[in-house]
Amino acid sequence: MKIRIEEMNGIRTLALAGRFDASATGGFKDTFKGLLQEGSANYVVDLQKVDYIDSGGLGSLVSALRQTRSVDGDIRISGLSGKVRSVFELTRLHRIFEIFDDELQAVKSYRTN
Amino acid sequence: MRILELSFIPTLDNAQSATIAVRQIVETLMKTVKVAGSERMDKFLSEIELATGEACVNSVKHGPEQGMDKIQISVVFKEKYSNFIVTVSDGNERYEFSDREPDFDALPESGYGIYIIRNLMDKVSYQREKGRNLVIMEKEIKQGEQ
Repeated sequence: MKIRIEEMNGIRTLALAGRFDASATGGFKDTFKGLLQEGSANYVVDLQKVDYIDSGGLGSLVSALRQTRSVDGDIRISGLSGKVRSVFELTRLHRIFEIFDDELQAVKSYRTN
Repeated sequence: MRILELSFIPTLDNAQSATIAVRQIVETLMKTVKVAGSERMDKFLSEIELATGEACVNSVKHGPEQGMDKIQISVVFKEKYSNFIVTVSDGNERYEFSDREPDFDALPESGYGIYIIRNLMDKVSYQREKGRNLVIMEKEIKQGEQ
C-alpha cells in the first residue's frame, strides 16, 4: 500500500492507495506515529484508491483515531468506494468516523467546526 | 464438483497473495459454468475474498514466528447447488473461534475478523481435526446473482 502525505489548509491528509490489509498496517502505524510526534492533531485519511480493507486496516484506523482523540484531535475519512464502505458499515465504524465524499470536503469540515 | 487446493508459508505477505488467488479461482470456476458478471457478482467475489483473507491472517497471527506448518486452503465448488466451500486450515494450537460480536461501543482495535467472516458467509464452522484448525466457510450464489 502506498501512502501520500500532504498538507491542505493546515490539515494533514494521508491518501492511501492499494490494499489496506494486515500486511500494510505496520507501514501505516509507523507513518502515523511519525506525524503525531511532529505535533499534528487533525487528519484526513483518503481511501479513494483503496480497493480492499480488512480488519487489520480497520483496526489501525481505530488505533490512530484513539491516539488523536487523546490529544483532542480527530481523523476524518474520505473517498470510500462501495466495497470499502460496506466493510465500514458492517463493523459500524461509519458511526464512529466522520465520512466525506472527497478529501477537500473532509479538510473543509475542520474549518466549519 | 470441483476442488482446488493451495498452500503457503505463513507470512502476512503470502496471506495477501493467497487471498487474491482464491478470488481469482472462484471467479474462474464461476466462468466455467457460464455465470454472468455483474455488480452483484463483484460483491459476491469481494465477500469471499475478504472472508478468506480474514481466515488466512488469523492463521498467520495464531502461529509461532518460525517453524509453523503451511497454511492450506481448499476451494470446493458444487455446481449443482451453486455453492462454494472455502476451507482454511493451519497446524497451530487450538484457538477460540468466537461467535461473540465485538463490543463496538468500546471502539476495539482488534476482534473484527471472525465477526466479518460470520457476516459475509452463509455458513461458517470451526473444527479441530488431526491436529489442525479448520475454518470452513460456505457461500451460495443467490438467484439474483446469476
